[in-house]
Amino acid sequence: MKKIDTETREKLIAFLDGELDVKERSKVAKKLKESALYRRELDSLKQVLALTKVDTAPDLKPVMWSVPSRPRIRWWRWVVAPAAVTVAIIGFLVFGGKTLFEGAREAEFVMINGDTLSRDEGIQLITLIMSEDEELREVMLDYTERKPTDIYNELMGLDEEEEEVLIFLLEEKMLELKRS
Amino acid sequence: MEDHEVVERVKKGQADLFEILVRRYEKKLCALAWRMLHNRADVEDAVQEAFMKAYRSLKKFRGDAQFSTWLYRITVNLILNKLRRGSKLKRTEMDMEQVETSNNPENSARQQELKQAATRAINDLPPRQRAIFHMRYEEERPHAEIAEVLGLSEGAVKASYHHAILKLRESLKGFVD
Repeated sequence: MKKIDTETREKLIAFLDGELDVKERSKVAKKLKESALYRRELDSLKQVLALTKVDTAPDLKPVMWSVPSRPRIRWWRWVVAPAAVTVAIIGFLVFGGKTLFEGAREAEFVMINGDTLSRDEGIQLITLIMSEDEELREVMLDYTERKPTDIYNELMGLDEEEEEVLIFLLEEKMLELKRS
Repeated sequence: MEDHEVVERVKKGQADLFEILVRRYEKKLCALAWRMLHNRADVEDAVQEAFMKAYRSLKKFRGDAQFSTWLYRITVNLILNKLRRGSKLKRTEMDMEQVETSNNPENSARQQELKQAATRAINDLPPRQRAIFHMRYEEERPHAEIAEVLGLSEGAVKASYHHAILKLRESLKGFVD
């Protein structure tokens, strides 16, 4: 018995999904008229899709909503971190003969991975990177393509988990910078 | 009141109005979360948490995308992170008891079997693919919008959707002609 090849099956899925343009669609429609094999395959795909309809969410309790209190913005904690801790971490971030922190303070702007931030933004970011949290390393990889400026812009209003994820990214970017 | 109007008012201090958005989207988010988690307790937690995140991040929502797209993005990312870490989930097992008890008692054993098979088949898809399948097939969202929710290209969304159907077909081949 003849079998449908992968390309044809893909085409039929695209046909079902409405992805095809008029020309392609009429080609498939013509094939469907001519070929019982095509029709069987299309029916089979339709049946599969129909079967998934039974997987519906049960009745769940409504979301208990009340306006939450203002979140604690943890990163300010590092901005006002004790001097000793700051110095220790600045030591870690030595770059081009200067610490990155010092460089940022002297510069008009800061570049990280080709992305430009204002001096103050750069200092805040670098301060953020000073945080150390082992758990962060296990989280996220969804943010790896973000630019530092995007990250900076997102810092306001983050909840704790998102904040952790972004800090992890910043740490990774800093390591990348050091290596380069 | 349209979403964007509610968002603007909440941003301007009418925080209570956020509940309009909660009620408007909770069922949809639950359906999406169910497809990704298949566990009642985890679904309820995830949806609750997603709304909380959305509320707290509302000031950075600039209206470039639709509110619903943004809310879905928050929800899907939150669930993907939870699944990645695993430990924060109450249970990683599927809530098969729910699958069974939610059946109409008049349903045949065959139908129950079918329902469980469908749930398992969907659960066997990778989490992101489950989300794509749900948003495309159940909600009929445009590929472009799904791509925006997930930070993928439209092509990647289409390819993933196709793969999902092929995998489901394989898993459910005993139930189709």
